[in-house]
Amino acid sequence: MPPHLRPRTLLVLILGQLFIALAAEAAELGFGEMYQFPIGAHGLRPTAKLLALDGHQVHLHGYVAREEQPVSGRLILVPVPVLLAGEDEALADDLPANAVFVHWSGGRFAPPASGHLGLTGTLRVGVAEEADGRLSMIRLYLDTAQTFNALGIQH
Amino acid sequence: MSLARPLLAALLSLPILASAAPVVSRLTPPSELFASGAPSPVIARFLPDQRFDLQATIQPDAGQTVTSFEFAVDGMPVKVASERRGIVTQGLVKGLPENTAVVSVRAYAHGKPGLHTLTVTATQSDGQRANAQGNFEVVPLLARNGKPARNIIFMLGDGMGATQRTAARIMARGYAQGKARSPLAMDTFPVTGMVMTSSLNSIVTDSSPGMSNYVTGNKAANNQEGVWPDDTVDVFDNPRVEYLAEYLHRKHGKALGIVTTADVFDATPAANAVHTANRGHGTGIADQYLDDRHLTGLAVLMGGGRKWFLPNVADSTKPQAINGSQRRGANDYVLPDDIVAAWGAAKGAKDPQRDLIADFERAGYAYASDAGTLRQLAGKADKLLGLFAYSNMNVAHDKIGGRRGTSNIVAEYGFPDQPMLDEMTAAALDVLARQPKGFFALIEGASIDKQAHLMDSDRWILETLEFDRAVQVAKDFASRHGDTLVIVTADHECAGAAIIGAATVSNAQLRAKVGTGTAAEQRDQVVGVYEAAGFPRYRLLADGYPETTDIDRRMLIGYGANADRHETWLTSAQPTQDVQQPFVGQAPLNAYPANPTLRNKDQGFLVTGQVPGDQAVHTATDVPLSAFGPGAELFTGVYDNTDVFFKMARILGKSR
Repeated sequence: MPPHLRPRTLLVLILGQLFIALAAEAAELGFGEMYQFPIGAHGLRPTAKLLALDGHQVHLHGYVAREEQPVSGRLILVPVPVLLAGEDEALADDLPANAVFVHWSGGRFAPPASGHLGLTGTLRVGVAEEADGRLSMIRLYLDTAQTFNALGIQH
Repeated sequence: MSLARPLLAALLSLPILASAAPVVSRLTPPSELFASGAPSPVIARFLPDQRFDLQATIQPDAGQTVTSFEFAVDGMPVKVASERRGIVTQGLVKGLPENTAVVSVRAYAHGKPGLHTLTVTATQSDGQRANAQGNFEVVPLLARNGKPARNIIFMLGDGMGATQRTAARIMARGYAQGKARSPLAMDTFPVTGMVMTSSLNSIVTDSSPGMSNYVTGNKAANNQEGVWPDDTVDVFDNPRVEYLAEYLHRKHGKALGIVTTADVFDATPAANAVHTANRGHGTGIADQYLDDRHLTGLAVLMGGGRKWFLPNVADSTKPQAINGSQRRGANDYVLPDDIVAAWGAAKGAKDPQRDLIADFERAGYAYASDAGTLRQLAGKADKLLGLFAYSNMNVAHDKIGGRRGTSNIVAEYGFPDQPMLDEMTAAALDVLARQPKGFFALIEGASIDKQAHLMDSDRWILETLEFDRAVQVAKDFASRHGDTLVIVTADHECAGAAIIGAATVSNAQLRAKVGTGTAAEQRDQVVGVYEAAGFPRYRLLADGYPETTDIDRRMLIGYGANADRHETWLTSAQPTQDVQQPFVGQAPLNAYPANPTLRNKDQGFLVTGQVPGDQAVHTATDVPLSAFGPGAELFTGVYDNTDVFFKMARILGKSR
């Protein structure tokens, strides 16, 4: 084994290949599989599965966070129903740390302001600034054609 | 030919004769004298030697610039070192004339009690002058009989009006033939008065001035804390007024403790230590807690909001350095030099990459990330930082459910071991009691308000119960230490909550009605008013919280400041008011609610709201304030929230 390939790195690579193989179709990803829980004293620690699925098709089930001031072309998917009260709370909110920011463009996709959804798209892992000033850690870019077909939406 | 007309026309064409004079469009501190010409009411009031900024906005004539300015108090020019004076012509709000100047003298203080006039005179480049007059009052520290207090514990139930207190008593104590079986802890305080809560710019306040007014003695505008409005875009350069904690630390060496169940950057905790015109600038607010601890004496900071304390490292490579940080340069702070020089405040920097937890630890703060760590630190920490959640802490209903094993909400959030507010209060007082010169502590039950906004009755009642248990801890401390004043109050009432009666049906019958969606079924056959309400009886477990809130003949809450909602009267399984979330999955779009902004549609009956949007709002209703300890007698009557500041100062006395 090359000296620079430490056991931990090998494990990540093996797991990554396994997940990629399983994700030939969209891989199922649960909110409990994104970060090591409980959350660490110094912040979030992504799981190997999450990192391995970066850039791949995933399928997520979750609740649409209800936003007082929604951002066009984006919704936030969360493991439990949440209402974000922007005017009185600013960012002192009840949004869980493992929220997924879902983006799409084009089409006539009018998502519900609340409710439970199953969505498929390309997963992106990494820090990005959203239009409302939040920083997202995980984003899902919808395959709008596939999503619209699945939801029976004309586009 | 006469030369008079041409000569007169030539003279009139000279700018000095054709222009208007420059204008003072704002004078700070605010005064009714400046605003309308009326000498009363006096808006700005201060303790002797309490620091505050003087500021004015000067609009010169077209083509002119402001070349000099002078403030005067009672006709005497205010002379300060040049580094405490500022003139700003860039970064102003839109709509002001070109060359408008915001002129300041920072950290002024006046020691002589009485009413004082404040004038500003500004000169523009052609020599014309503008001046304006306002007033302010220095309130004397009157002596009072009795021992002065050494410590103050300020318990704030956010949004907690009289209804919230009463509902908690009914649930937690029960009634027998019209008598409460026992009082809440806050009911046992010997003195209660009523507080007027309005802000500088509205009868209806928010939590920023709701707290700030109590601890500065001055009105702040909504969304602003420890400052007055100005005409610059920067939210951290507004004219300041000294907080009680800053005044006490500077004058008497007292320490400050801040405990909240909210994100620690939220308005109520921040409006004790950080000066800003925008309560939402989390990075700058979190940073200034630490950076200005020499001004406030901060010894304890606990709550949620870990996301502001984690470094946001830019330009990371795979694997990405994700840690959940929400720090951004855009809401960080850098102060102008005149504030730094005059107030001794830290300059600041746009540093999203800062590891604020590590900086707190390097400054000697012990860091607790969960309840277990907090218990281990008992008796060992001289300074304490506790960050128990990513943003707001979970509510009491869900924390208790996690401890009982009946709910997995706290686990879903990733923070299964969060302390209760009474545990946090005990830990804070353990540290603060060892401060050599005494302390001022702010203890906030934050989600009474947040859950009242959501009209989630059961959750805000339990929040009030959790808050009352913390009140008991504070009262016990004050009973052991005879030099401690405890105040229990609110920043405002939320949602216009009212106890309208009780259900006339069992919980099972209520559940059977879910889905009927009609007032005939879910209101007319359910709501018992007057004698039909009787006395709802909740059973408390050993942990002090109800076994369940879904009892037969449950207490019913209505809302006078409500948004539209569908009411089922049942406790939500999840932390919103949705009783059930039907799995939609791949369903076609026509399965979604026709108006998805209405919660529980087809579950409960429609209650039409008085306010737009999804949430209930704050009200302007006066709130009760209860006091225990030395000086409590000063809190009878009806008074303004700014009056509380001067009462507290009087109770603390001149020096301790």
